[in-house]
Amino acid sequence: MDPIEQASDSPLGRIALVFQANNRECARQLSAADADLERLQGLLDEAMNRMSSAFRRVSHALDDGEVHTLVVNLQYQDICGQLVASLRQRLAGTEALVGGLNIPFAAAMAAGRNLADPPLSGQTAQWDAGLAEAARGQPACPVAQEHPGCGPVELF
Amino acid sequence: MASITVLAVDDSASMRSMVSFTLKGAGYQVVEAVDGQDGLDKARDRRVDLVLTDQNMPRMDGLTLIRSLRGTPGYQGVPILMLTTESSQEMKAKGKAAGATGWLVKPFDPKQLVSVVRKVVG
Repeated sequence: MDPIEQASDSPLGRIALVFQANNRECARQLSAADADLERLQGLLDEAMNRMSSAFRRVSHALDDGEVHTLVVNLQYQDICGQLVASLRQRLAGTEALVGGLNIPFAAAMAAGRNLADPPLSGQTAQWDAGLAEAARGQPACPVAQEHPGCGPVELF
Repeated sequence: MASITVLAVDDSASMRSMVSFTLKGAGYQVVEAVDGQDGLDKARDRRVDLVLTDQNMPRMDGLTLIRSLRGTPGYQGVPILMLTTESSQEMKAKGKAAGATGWLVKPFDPKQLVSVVRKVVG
């Protein structure tokens, strides 16, 4: 039997069971969110392919103003794609953090130790890995423009 | 206009397509590259007069491409413009230090892009 289940008659054991269940559900939701974002990226790409293809077919019949508008607006697919990629990176980082919680927690419970105790020597590396993951943080979102409109130009 | 070749480096096919459409319409020749490494290979294969590059790309990002090109014979004085969604002062400072000539934030205005290209290629 799982050492945490064995300890489920204690308050700490019950907390551990809830923690584990929540953690599993978090991982499941993060994974589902990533799959949704992957589908969204696919749909964005498909929509862009179709719009680009249509644009190339009809561009000769459009006036300058219409071409200008379309060239600007078609670029939003790329910007949306970068946002989706950034979200997926954040999800992957969060998934690693959530997963990282399980290792030292389960190890401490298996050893029957108080969670306030310092880690056993063999667990130090695991704790350090979890801390390093948390300290790494997430990269800044590469899309800084908050409002629609053409971006600024700067010559150095 | 004498034949001027622009190397457009972006991992997004749609962006390459929009840049290419805009610059070809203004009379420039455009060579496309799918990421920094591809851009570097193509720049070494042929002479290009201007490089227009994205920042976030697989294999090699825009800043690394600029540094590599600045270390490539014949590319010390070639204008290199960044065309990216990134617009922080920190990133721009890195771009300038790497050797970028200018910084354009997506989405680009087609007329403005042509105007900037004309300005930097002389």
